[in-house]
Amino acid sequence: MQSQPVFNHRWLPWLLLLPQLAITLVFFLWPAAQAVWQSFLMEDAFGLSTEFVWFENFSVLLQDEIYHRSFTTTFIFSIGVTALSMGGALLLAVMADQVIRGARVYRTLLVWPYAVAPAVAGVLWMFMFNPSIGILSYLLEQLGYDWNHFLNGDQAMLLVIIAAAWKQISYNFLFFLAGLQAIPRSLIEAAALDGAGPMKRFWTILFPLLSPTSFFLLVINVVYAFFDTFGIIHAVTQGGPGGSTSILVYKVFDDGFNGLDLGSSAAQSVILMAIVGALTVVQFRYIERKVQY
Amino acid sequence: MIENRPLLNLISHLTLCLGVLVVAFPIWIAFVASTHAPEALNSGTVPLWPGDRFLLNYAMALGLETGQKTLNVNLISMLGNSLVMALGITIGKLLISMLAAYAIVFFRFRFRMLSFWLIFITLMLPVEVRIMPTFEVVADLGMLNSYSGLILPLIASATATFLFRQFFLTVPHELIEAARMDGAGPIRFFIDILLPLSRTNLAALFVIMFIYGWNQYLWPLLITTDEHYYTVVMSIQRMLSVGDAEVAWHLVMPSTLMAMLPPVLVVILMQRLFIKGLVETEK
Amino acid sequence: MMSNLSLANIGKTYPNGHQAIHSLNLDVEPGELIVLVGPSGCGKSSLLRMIAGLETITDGELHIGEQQVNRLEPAQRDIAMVFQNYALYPHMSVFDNMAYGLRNRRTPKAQIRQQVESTAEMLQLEQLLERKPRQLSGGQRQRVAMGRAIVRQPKVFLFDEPLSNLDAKLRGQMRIEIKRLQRRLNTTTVYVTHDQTEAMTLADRLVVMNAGRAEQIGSPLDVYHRPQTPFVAGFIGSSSMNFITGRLDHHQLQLGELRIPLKQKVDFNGEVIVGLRPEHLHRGTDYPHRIELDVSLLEQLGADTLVHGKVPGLDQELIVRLKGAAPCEPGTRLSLGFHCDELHLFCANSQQRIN
Repeated sequence: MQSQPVFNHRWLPWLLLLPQLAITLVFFLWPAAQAVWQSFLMEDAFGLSTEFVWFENFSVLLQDEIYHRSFTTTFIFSIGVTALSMGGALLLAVMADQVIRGARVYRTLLVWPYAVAPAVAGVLWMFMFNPSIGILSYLLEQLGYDWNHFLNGDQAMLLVIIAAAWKQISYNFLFFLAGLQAIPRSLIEAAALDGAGPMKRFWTILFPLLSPTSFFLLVINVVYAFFDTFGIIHAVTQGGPGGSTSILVYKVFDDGFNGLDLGSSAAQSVILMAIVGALTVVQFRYIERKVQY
Repeated sequence: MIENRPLLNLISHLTLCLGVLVVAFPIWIAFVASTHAPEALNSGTVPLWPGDRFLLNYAMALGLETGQKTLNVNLISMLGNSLVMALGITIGKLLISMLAAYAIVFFRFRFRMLSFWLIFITLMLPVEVRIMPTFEVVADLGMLNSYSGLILPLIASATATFLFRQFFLTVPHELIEAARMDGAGPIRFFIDILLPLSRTNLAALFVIMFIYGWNQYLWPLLITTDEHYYTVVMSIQRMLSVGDAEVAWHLVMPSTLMAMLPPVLVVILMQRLFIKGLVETEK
Repeated sequence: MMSNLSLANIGKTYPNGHQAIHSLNLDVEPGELIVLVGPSGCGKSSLLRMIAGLETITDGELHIGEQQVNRLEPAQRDIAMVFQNYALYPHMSVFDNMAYGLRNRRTPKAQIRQQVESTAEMLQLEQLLERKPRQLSGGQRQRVAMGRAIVRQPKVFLFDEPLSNLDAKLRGQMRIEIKRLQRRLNTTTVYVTHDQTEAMTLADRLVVMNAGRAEQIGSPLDVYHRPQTPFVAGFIGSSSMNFITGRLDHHQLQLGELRIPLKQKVDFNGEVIVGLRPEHLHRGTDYPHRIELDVSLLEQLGADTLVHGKVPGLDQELIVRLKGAAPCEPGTRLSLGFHCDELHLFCANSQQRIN
């Protein structure tokens, strides 16, 4: 980077940077600073006066049962989404890598859900699981299983997990397939000559060699489940029933806009920023070590 | 034999077909629902085969036919809003991040690294996380219920800036030196050399950013109270919040399908660019 | 580990109709080293992969030992292969790379260790057993790839251009090492290369392939001295053979204005292609036939000189390999002699040898 020849100009670089910096300052850094500042303030019950309370918002939050529950909910949700979408995508990618013909056709048929907005994905699945008119809830009823995600928290959780995973499968599939196709054919042939059958080849050769891809996708999927699924929760369950699907990003929004508890919402924002920060660092450290083999 | 295992090949195809069906099933059901009368949908179970109200339902949703209404604006105006927002975000992002990357790579000035880090930090601040204070800023600036309010807060993008920076760093030194010998200044160089070289990167990024812009949900939901600024993705949620009344599924489903059609078409028709964009923005 | 390998009418037709191998017959003696040689795309690699079981055989029968193996899985054929890019498992140590095949065959642990260590010793890899492939040099990787093949003591070794990723010097060394190892283990081996020097030096017998056919099968010297087709004649030999078209009439060879009576009786009249190796044109007087060469270009190789030039009355340019530094300059005329039994005669129509 140092050896790159450069242009010399006094004000032009600033002019070029100005739009990006201005937007960053006004809409990113200033609000973020506001969030930090507000997390130290507490309003009285009528919103008439505010008081600087240091870390009281945080300590209240950390002792709050509901916040703990939201953490647990987020973890269950993330694990569910990640496991379902990565597992499904890996299975499909391995199959697509094996077929002699048609891998590209399958790719086309599987990538498009990426383009569906999370909220729309949520509505599609909500419709199919609608307790009174949904096709899937009807089928479950025939099997003797009573489905009503408006009342049953576990079912609501399962519904949002399925909707979120459905959308993410295409992304994972693309990266797994690319990862598999980057593994030299001759390695698989060598393993076949060494007496390893298809299953054994997968677990001893393909799977270990995919580990950089898998780790990368793990981080991406966790970020997705934590932050990008807001639309699904908001459109499908509104965090309910009884807070059973209120993940952290939803709770920030809910406490701020509906509960009008600004101090607590700001403190939650700050905690979330710390989580994104940590995930970003993990992601970047990974990129540095990407050329592992 | 590695090359020829008919059974394994068959199992692979079957699994993939099953996967494709599972992935496509929700769309089929949505499409079927969009072609039936409300009575057929709200009585018992949703049918599995299309009905005869395709034209009527879509015409009603698009506002071409008067009938039952869920909102006071029609789908056409909301699709228009979505398009304006998606294009605004996309073009804005590409423009400002390309200029910023150009400054950072090809110029030396004080606080260059500081600027770089300021942009970098935005990666850690997704809109969902700082939603309350950002809303206040936009409200204070009087940008609620406006296109600029929909677009501007979303166009800073560290990802695009990084991508352009990576790409600019690979431009051979000789090219800059040759351009200088030929008497091209920084602006000429940008327009005549860099812009044409960045064409495929721009196109790939355009696809990704367009999908990102079109699919925005929370932000438009918050800052638009005037129905004339509703975007199609968020409007679906509005149609569903009808309290105790029955949801007009026969109008919701056409809107849902129309809401996903443009980005899905972009992905399918520009698959190569889409994949290139995806791989490059996430690496 | 002596076992014979036999190919009877082996053919390969791809689903799109492309015929990669045309009915090929070959019997490999136990312990023999066969080299498949030919230009890229001639089908030699396909043939090797068909023996390995990595591609299906669409015609004919393949036997290893007494067993017909057409439909057997690669793993069941008891063969080992060294790949062009080595195909070492990047996430496994050298030891694990060599042990993988044994483990898959449920060999007892102690025996695996013993076999891997003795193979490593043979290949001077003892110090490297804990390393990962990325920590090895090109030559070391090559040896690990061979070790992985040897350690299983298979019935047949297959080599797919194993030296093409090495630099010239290392290639020479490894060639000798492979030959020595093969002699010592006495394992039936099929070796694929496009490099005719490698083929000549390694092979007990050569299979010269062109466009999916075996043009000639024979010992290196046999192929060198009696090539059956112009293709073989041109492919084998370190500077390519000179070809001149001419006519044969009643044992008289007509080359442009040159007339050469043949000593041997050849019952053929008509168009012929005449081949003469650059090293078979000599200076000096004790040769029955003479030609004059107008020198146009010299290539000094030190030990030899390659002289390019034209013979008055002939269209084609000739190349001559002379010992030592050439005694001439471009623009001068050189008088050269040859024996007529060093001429290779091919029928111009059938492309078959006639003398």
